[in-house]
Amino acid sequence: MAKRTIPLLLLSTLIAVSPSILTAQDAQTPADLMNMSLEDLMKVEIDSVFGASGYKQKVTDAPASITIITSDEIKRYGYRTLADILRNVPGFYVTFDRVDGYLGERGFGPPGDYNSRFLLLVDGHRMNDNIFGGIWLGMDFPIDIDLIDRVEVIRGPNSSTYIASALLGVINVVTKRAGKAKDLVVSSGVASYGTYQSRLSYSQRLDNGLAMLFSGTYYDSHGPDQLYFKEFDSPATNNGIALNADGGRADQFFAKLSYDGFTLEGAYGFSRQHDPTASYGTIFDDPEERIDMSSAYLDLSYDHHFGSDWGYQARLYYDKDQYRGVYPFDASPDGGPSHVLNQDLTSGQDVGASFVVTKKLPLGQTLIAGSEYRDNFQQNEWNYDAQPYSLNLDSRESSSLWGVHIQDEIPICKSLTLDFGLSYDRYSTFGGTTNPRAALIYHPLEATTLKLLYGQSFRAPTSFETYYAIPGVAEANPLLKPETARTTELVWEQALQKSFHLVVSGYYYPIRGVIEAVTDPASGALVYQNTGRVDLKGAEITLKRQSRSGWEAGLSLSLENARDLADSAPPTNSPRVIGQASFSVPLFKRTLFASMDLQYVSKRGALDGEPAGAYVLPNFTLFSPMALKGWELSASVYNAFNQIYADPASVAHVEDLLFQNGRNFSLKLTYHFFSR
Amino acid sequence: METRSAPANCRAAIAGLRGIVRAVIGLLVSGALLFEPFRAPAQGSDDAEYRVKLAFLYHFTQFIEWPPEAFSDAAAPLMICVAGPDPFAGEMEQGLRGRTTNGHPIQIKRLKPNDDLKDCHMIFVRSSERKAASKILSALKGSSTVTIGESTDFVTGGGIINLTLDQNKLRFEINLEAATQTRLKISSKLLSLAKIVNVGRIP
Repeated sequence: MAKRTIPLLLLSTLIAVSPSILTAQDAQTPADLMNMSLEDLMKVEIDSVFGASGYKQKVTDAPASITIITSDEIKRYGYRTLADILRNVPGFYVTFDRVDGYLGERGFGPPGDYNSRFLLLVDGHRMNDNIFGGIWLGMDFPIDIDLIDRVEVIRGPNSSTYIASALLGVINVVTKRAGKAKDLVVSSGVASYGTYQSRLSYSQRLDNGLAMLFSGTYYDSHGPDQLYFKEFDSPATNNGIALNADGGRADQFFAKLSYDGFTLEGAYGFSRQHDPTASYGTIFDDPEERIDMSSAYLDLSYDHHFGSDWGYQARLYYDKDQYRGVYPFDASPDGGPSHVLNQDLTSGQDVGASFVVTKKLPLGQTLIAGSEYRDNFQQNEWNYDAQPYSLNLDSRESSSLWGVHIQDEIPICKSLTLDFGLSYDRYSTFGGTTNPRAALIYHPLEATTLKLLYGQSFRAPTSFETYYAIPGVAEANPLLKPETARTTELVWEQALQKSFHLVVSGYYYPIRGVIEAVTDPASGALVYQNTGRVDLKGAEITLKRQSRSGWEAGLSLSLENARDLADSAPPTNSPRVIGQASFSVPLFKRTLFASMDLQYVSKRGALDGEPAGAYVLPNFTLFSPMALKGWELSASVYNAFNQIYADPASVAHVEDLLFQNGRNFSLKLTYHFFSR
Repeated sequence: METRSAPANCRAAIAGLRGIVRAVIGLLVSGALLFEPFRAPAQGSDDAEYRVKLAFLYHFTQFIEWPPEAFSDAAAPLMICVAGPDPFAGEMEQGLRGRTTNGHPIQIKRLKPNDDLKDCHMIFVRSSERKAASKILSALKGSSTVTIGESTDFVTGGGIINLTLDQNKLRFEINLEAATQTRLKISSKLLSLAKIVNVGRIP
């Protein structure tokens, strides 16, 4: 059991969030805005994106291709996890191995890569752990999805703005801010497979400017009673049926205090997920197999601006991430006991500091310069068998890194801007790396934006890839180098009549030195090497409409042409076509929203055997905000047509394909105590 | 980002490029429904920006007093004119429906070339109308029309109010000198929330 490092008193002082009334997206109608006082209007934030340049700017000015998902959409479409949000981002797809979700983008989504090619930020705080470089998209992401104000997805490399590793994209989660009125919220949900979830939140902004938000969430799921795996269909392994082997639970705590430019924020999450797939050669249908994850952070930041011309942001942070996998296996073929519990553990801790200055220069230039230092003072991995005890791995590492970056936004002409960035990062492990980025942003017409983007980025080898070694199973490789990508993208954003918005983009991403697990012919063990070479090419088209009367619709089509240069074939788990659609309509004077989202993912190759077939997943949600004073109600059906579909499995699995859940339901009731 | 001034040598090139882009885009989208390059309501984020800006304009009408002769009668509408593309067209301006100031219903319209500027009680000059702005401002000298802009040089050029974005929030500047040359009365409440700009000392 992972240690609970956050005391339960947090639970008792609970917790937090008012619908963030102060963004123009949330303030629903023009009439609502006019009813606000001028003072309050001056506090309304206009929807903007923070992540692409590290400072707030309008989406069409950002040097990247960006999608924003708001809390309003999260409610309307009944998204439950970060995975639900991201699978609706144009060109993205999510693969599940019944423990974790793996994010794919632009035809690149190796199963089991822990999402280390994406950078995940929460309010600017880095969430990737320092062992796997991973991010977690299910209940193991420590922030309750209902605390999110918006998610900004920035495609492409961003290494020149953030220290370390944003090879394929940045996901910036922005949490809600406390509203002026105190808000105490209780939210409870039930869902298929014996799933229960409750949240208690409290938020308030005091007259002296101190804003606070506290929240706690409890989640428990029994999981499907039976899951069938044809690879284990023999009488010795219960005819391939795993009984009650897919349950999980999670606890999440979040607190945020802000006052006069200072923000102190902390989160803690613990999750346990049982694994019914008998991964890593374990005993099938054994309820002991489970993955425990805990992650915690503390982040103190200070934002200061001198007039509108310059400002800085300073940040201090601490992270602690732990993992424990329990793997029951049968050692009798080697003369051991028939039931051995193998324990696989990691513990990572780091502290760091960053400082970023933004300055407006003459001729309309905006200069951003920053630096960051991080001390990964603990990067430990263990593996042992319990009873009889046998230590297989005891690796205690530490490392450090620092980086500097500079970016200048230079208006060449009134409608043409050059955005240039350069970064240097130095790792104690493999050395230094320099990465440039450039963007030309052209507004030829008021409603038209053209962006030509070029970037170079890298992903540092993770501690797991470098040091995980068990004789005969896995070998260390301290000589690993970073993966590199040189990406070119052309984006056309067009505002059309009647609030339609069109985005068309084409891209070319060659990625070199991709770190892959290969078998050492001498020992038969797996070792990570920089052997992969992948070319990603494709085009995406998205058409969206948000009407002021409250209905919205979106349609996107992505054509991906990814090639693994080793065999000129698409890499594993690379769909050629992704289609996404969403539609939401307000009913009964906006007291009810009926919404649908749909994902289509075409056939994808598996590591072995038959490919995973194409699937269509339509999900429907009815959401009622404040139909009765203070109450919100949400009812969803996911995979509504009970599509039978599977995702490719990773090297950890005997299975080639892992079948996913059929039609399932959820119901959620939320009550705001101080609702007026 | 409308604050940049374009070096002169760029303009011809940009004008040429703009023509090409307009033609290409027109061609690409003409088959697809709904394209209208000259009056495109802005997309998502701009939309939010102008929703807030319209609310600001509405509030300004509540804190400014026009001289009685600015209206033909007690129930005559208060006209807000938009110079340049109208970002408020459609459902956004429905938010003004039924709203009045001192009994005058508020109406909004896009300025056409031959319109008499003095019929407008308020003119919102889009940042794209850099050239037209100076003409409008000089034509309105001594009138009772509130000029409102959205680019940094608007008040230094003689405009009365300018909307600015500061850390993604909307702010406004008032040029007191320009305001005192009119017969408008601006309430102290509005002045207290504004950044007062003294044109003589602008760098």
